[in-house]
Order: sequence, then C-alpha cells, then structure tokens
Amino acid sequence: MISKPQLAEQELSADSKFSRRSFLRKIWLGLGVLTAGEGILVALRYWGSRRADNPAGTTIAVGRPDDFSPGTLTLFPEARLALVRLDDGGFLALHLKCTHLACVVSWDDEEGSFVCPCHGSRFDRTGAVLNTPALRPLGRFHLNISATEIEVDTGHLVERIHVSPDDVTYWSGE
Amino acid sequence: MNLLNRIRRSIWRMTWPTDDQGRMKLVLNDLLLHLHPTTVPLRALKVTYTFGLGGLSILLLGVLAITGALLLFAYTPTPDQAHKSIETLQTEIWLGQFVRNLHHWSANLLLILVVLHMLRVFYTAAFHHPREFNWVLGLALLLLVAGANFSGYLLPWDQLSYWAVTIVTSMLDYIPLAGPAIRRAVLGGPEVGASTLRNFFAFHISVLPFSIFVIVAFHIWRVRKDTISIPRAVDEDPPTKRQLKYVTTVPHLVVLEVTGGLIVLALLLLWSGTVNAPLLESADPHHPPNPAKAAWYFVGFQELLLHFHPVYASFVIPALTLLALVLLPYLDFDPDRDPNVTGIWFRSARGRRLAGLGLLVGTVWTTLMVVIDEYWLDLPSLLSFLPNSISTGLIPLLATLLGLFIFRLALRAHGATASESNMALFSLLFAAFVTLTAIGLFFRGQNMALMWPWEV
Repeated sequence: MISKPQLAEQELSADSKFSRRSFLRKIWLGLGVLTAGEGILVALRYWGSRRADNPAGTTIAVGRPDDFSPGTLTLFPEARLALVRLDDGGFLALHLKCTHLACVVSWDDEEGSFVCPCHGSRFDRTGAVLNTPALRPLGRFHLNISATEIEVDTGHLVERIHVSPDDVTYWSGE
Repeated sequence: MNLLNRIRRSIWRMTWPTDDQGRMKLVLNDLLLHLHPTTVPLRALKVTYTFGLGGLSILLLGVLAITGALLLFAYTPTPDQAHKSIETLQTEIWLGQFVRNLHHWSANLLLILVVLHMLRVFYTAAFHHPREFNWVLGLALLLLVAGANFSGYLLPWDQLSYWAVTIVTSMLDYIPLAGPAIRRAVLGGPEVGASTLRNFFAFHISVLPFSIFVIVAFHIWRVRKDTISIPRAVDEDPPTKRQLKYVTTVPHLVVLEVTGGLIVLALLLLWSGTVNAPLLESADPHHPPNPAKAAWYFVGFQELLLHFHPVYASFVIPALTLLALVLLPYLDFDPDRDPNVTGIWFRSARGRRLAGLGLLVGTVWTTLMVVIDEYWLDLPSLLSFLPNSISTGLIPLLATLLGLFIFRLALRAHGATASESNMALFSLLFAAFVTLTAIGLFFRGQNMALMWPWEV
C-alpha cells in the first residue's frame, strides 16, 4: 500500500538518483555528525586547557663536585633525584621513579640497589634493571658541572631503553 | 473539597486502593512504582532466585547520591586542602565521620553487589535471548561503578589514594600507541597532581553519576520490556504465560523490596556506625608506602602485573576479557539452535558439577602458577633470546589460552553442551581473578614479596 505523498515523490525522483526527502535526510544527518564532532572537539580542548597546572621540574643546584666522593650515592627525595658518583669519578643523575608503574624507588643499602615498593623491581646504581617487572632502566637528567656547582635539569627527563656509557657525565677540571 | 485536600490531590491523585484493580492503577500512576509492571508472576518473586541484587544496587545508588551531596558541602578538591577538609569533616562536623563512612562502605558494597548481580544473571542464563543487550548495558554499569569507585578513591588525597591512583593510571601508559596521551589527559599532566584531583572530582560528581543514572534507567526499562525471567527446576520446560499465576505488584513485590531494602539499610547503618572508612596521612609524592597497593578491586590486575609483561597485564588481557564478556550473550546462546535454559541455576544438573569444577580448577591452577612463577620459573632468562614482551607476554598468554581451549575440548568430549562448557570456563576465569585479588591483598608484603597473611 503506497500513500499519496510517497507516490508523488517516486514520480519526481524517477530520473534522479536522490529524492528530495533522502537528500534532506542526508544533509541533516551530516549536520548532526558535524555538530557532535564539534561538541567532542570543544569538550576535549576545554578539558585540556588547564593541563599545565601540574608542575614540571626545574634546574636545581645540588653542590660542588668535590662534595661527592667517587663510589657514593646521594639522594635528593624532594627532587626525586639520586646523584650517583661512579667509582671512576663520573656523575649520573637518576630519576627515582620506577619505569614500571611510576612508584618512587628507594635506595636499599643492604642489597646495594634501588627497590620499588609497588612491584619489587630492582635497579643497580647505574639505573639498570636487576629485577623485573620493570623493563627499562631508570630515567636520567642532564647535568651541567663546573668547579663550583653541579646543576641538574630535572625539567627534562631522558628516558632510556638501555644503559650506555654516554649517560655518564665526567668533570675534568680540578 | 477543602483547600488542603485539593493540594494533596493535585500532587498525589490516588486514593488508597482497596481492590486489585485499584492496586494495579496505583502502580501505573505512581512515579516510583511505575518502574514495575502492574502484576508479576508469583514464581518470579522467589527471593533465592534474584536475591534482589539489582534492586539493592539501586538502593545503594540512592544512599550514595544523598551522602555524596552532603560530603560536597564539606570537601575542598585541592591538593593542599583536600586531606585537611576530610579531617575537619571527621572531627568537627556533626555526624561527618558517619556520613563519610556511609558513603565509603556503600560504594564498596555497591561494587560487590553489582558483581554478584552479574554472577546471578550469568548462572541462571538470564542474559540469553531476548535479554542479550541488557547484559551489555549491565557491563557498562559495572565499568562505570568501578570508575566511580576509583575516582572517589583519590579524593581524600592520603597516602593510600595517591599511590593507588599513581599505579593504576600508569597502567594506561602501556596501551599501544595512545597510552601515554590518554594517561596525560586523565592526569592532566605528567604526574598525579592538582589537575588530576580536579579531573577526578569532576568525573566523580558529575560525568559518572549522570551516566550511571541514564544507563540504569535504560537497564530497568529493558527489564520491563523483556519481562522478568522465571526461575525453574532442572529439566522443567519453560513456562508459558498461561501457566503462570500472576499477582499484583502491590503488595506482593513491593513488600519484598521494602523488607529487603530496610534490612540492608539497617546493616549498612550499623556497619558505618562501627567501622570507620580508612584515612592515612596526607599524600606524600616522595615517599610511597611499602607495599603500595592499588584499590582492592584492582589488586587482581596488580598481581597480574607481577607475572605478565605490562602491555599484556594492563591492556591485552583486560581488553580480551571485556570483549569476551560483551560477546558472551551472542555466542553462548542461539535461539534457533540451542535449548532454552533461562531460569535454571547452572543450566542443568551436570552444569552444577561443571561450575564447581571450573571454580576449583581456577583457584588451584592460579595459586600454583603464582607460586611457581615466584620461586622457580624465570621466563626472561630461560628465553633470553626473545624480547621480554614475547617471553613474559605472548608466550604465557598463548599457553594459558591453549590450556583453556583444551579444558573446553575435554568438557565437550564428555558430553557437556556448549553453554555448560562456557559456564565452566567463566567459573574458572572468575575464580582465577578472585584468587589473584586474594593473593595480592593478603599474601603480598614488603616489596610485594609473597608471604603469609600474618607476616604482611
């Protein structure tokens, strides 16, 4: 059973692919999708607008090179930083954040390794993984060393896949 | 009519009914009651069928909305004020501690009831055709309730909440491609901080409750449209509408609901009057507690993380599980082919034994695997020529899936129907998750080492 308006529409659209009705329906559908997309975009932009509120780190001064003797490790908990001076005198600034699930690692003096309280990952003094579940070594920060000051740029974390000799900074001046 | 009577009548049009017709009319004309049909099958009122779990969940949502509104007046969502405002609430505001307890325990109980409700629906096959989509809506509600619980977990801003949220949001990092971007969006920055608290607060008090309200309405409407399933004995044919005796909703169903609701409410009030919601010292971003555990409902995933590569533990396995649960009602039962088992606990007599077997195997197998992996098995060094994601991810996952597949084949070979075998698998996996959660909660101490509960 075909009602009258439909019949008229069929006659009208006999020679065109789209009837007026289906054309308008598509237009409305398109506009609907566009509006929804705009809405989502606005919501996401809005949501992101105050992201910068969580502070990143800054460059901090930790002391003079002579303050740290070779083979020592100094913790700066407030900056989530461990300054390691290797036996050969090289400096390494490690981020005290587990690369597994972001817990803060602590230094275990008995075992001589960093340990994560969340899942038991362990790292050696260069940040290399001793014990999974963590897979990547601890992140490190860039160091700027002069005779009077060691500066650590805690604003820029260097994430590592493997430990490498290039991670270590040496200070030659005495 | 005098004025008072006219006002009363303008609000509530019914007079108290004295006959069945009046009682049915009352259900139709009352805002709350009209969620019910006017009459219900007498057999569907069997308390040990539904246990009223869905209705009780709605009751708890009501308690949460009211106590939540009260808490909003006392709470400040900023890192330096949040913890202080909770302390003030508990010590200086009249009944403040009690209201917070009520909110806290209701939220935890809600999560338990929602899971039990899901188990009931699963084991009585009440999700089979035509109720497939309502199962999916129920899953959505489960996720939303878990999300609401989790977002609320951060708000006290104590050591417990800060580190639990740190762990769980870090799991997002392991979602392929978009992971780090999603985590940054959720946290509002690189770490849990002021933006995170603001985001979680907004989700907790507006986005999630509103979504839950809308989907709950949809969920209940579907129950009305699909009608309630009828409990029946093993080997009993599904009853036709003619065979069922219908009784009026008022009073038969409503009396049960009110009684059950009041009992649970009384227990909840008693519990909240005696047991305080935990509050540790204020969050310290530099010193995680040891061990640092996720919220109890995520501890199962945290335990999984000890054994699987993080991409698998925090993304692949949960995603596969969710996909299986969504497709379950469509794969488990084909109305053109399979016998109707809706309303029969555990499908059949054999089904009962198989569900028990699944639970047993799941518990024993999970416990064994955890102990073996903890003390003897070292896959990364055993398979050191393979990348970690394969040796501790793909290989254990495929081995597990193969084991499950063989388990199902064995059941089928012994004459179990497809639906019964699926049920045994579901039981096995559910028992595995509960076991993982129990191990994570009670058997993990310092540095997440395995130990007895009394040593933790």
